[in-house]
Amino acid sequence: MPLTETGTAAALRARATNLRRLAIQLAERDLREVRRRSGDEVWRGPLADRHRDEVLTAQRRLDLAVDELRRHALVLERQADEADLRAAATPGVPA
Amino acid sequence: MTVLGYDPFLLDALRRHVRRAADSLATIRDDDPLAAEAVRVAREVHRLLELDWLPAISAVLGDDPLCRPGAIASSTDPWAFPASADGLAGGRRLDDAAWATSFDEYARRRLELAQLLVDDPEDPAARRALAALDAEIAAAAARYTAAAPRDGHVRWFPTAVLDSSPMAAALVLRHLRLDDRTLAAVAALVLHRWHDGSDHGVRWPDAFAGGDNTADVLFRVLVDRPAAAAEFLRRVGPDELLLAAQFDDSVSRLLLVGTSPAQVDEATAGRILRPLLDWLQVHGEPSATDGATRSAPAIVAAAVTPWLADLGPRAARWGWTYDDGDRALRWLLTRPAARAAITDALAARTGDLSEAPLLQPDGRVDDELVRDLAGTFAQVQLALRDAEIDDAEADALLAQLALDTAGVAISAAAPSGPIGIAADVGVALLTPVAIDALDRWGIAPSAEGATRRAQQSFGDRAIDTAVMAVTGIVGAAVERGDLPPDTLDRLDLDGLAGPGAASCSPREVSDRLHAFVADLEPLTDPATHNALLAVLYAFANPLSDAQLCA
Repeated sequence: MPLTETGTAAALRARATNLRRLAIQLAERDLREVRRRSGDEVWRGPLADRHRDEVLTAQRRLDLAVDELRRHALVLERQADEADLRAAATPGVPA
Repeated sequence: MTVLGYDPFLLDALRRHVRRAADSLATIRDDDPLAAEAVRVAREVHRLLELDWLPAISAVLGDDPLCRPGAIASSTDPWAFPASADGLAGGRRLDDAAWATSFDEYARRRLELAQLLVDDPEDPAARRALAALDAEIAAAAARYTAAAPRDGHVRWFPTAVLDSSPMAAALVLRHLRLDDRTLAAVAALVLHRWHDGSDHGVRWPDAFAGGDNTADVLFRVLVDRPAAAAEFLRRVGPDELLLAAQFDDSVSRLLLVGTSPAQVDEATAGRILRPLLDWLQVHGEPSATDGATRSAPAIVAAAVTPWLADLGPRAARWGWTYDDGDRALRWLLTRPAARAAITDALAARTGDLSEAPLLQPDGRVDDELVRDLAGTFAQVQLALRDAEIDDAEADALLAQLALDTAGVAISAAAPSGPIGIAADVGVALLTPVAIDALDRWGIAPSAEGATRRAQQSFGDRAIDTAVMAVTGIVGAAVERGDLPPDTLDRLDLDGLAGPGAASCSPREVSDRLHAFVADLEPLTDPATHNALLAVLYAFANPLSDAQLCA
């Protein structure tokens, strides 16, 4: 695809789609089931406490990573929209 | 007060979920720079689960500190806990396929960890995880063994390992309490399967992984079980042995252990080593590809060294002809690495004949053996000469062979049994009286000394050997108090060694040795005198003198 505004927009949207797909994958691989199955009824003691803490921290990091991916996707989509607008406003460039 | 406790069944369920989460995170990949941070987080969480928490949970399950199998709740079924702990069918007897699946999972995880250590050998987390996983494998193997049927009179055979991948079988094998014969048989079957490949001959995954492959793991298991190692070596073909392991040291150690004179008799050594020598001569040295023992000639040479006489004078005892053995010996001696290996192997056992082969059950050697060793000595000399190998390396080899042969000859005169021989020979060769004499004549009882002083010897290593053997035997008798302390002074060899020596010093030395031994006859006991005569007959006889001085 030639490097036109529309071509750039398409590329940006493709990247955004890819990032959203990755965000969905990452969200599916959450640790909630692990956390749900590591309660006091399963095991108790310092090791168990540390496990719960670290899994919770890891879950939060994954959540943040998912949010960040979605935010990046949103930014890319907005940039794609702007590229489309610029292309439409530029004479001689097919929309 | 800290409350500690766990439910093994629920904890095992947690382990499986951690496993599943770790596996799913391992698949997260993306090349987009904007995804880099997310991918990094996914990898870190994967490592946290894989390297920290899976081993930790598995350790609790494996050690089971609060409730050992049999003590869990009110269960009386020894299968109940093991089955559940492996994530298999809880509480019921498992079939081979279930065990095999479990073993395969261990192998898969271990290959992953081994790969991490290939990338970073010092990775402490990976090392911890590997140790924990090995403990887990040991525990699983113990449970599998404990579950073996004991109600029949037929010896148990761990059939589950034949359903699993070869790598899984090799990992588990170490921990199965098998007798030597069964261990060897199973190990051989596993190696056969590894060679055959999986479906349609596709190579098993460990063939492409870093670290030990199936053969390496198997060989290292067998090294710790010498009797099984010998039996295993009898069962596998040369190509299976030499075209399998990733690391040469695992093959080398296996072959040395399995063919050691301490482990096998002369005929068994022949059944193992002869096919290897034949194979090497036909196929040459394995090429430099993964899974091939690149230093095969040196490895086989080191293993053959204690049995050199069976490549010559004693060839019939290995079921081949002198010419066959001589051809194999020459093939080895024309390869520098093999020559060096023989020299090193001889040096390694100098002064310690406790593992010397060919000794009689009472630890003595007979005249025939001394003659055979002398024949071997001459054979090696001829082979080196014909191959035009005339350098310090060849001289070092001959020096070590002379020392070794002299040591065996000296042991013929040792009055004690097998246990005392090593000490006696060591003392005999190293006793100050003998050392002084050997030093005076320029024959040092070490490879370095012998090489350094090669030009000062009596013109031929066979004669040097005779001098060393006679000196050692007499030195030992002096040490025992059977001969006067100044006995060796009667052996006058001064002026015969080094530059400017007599025109044919070997003959001169031989004559003087014969005269010396004849003089000693009234003073020595019959065993010592016979040993001295055997040495003279073997190394300093008129025929060899004539050849040397022709």
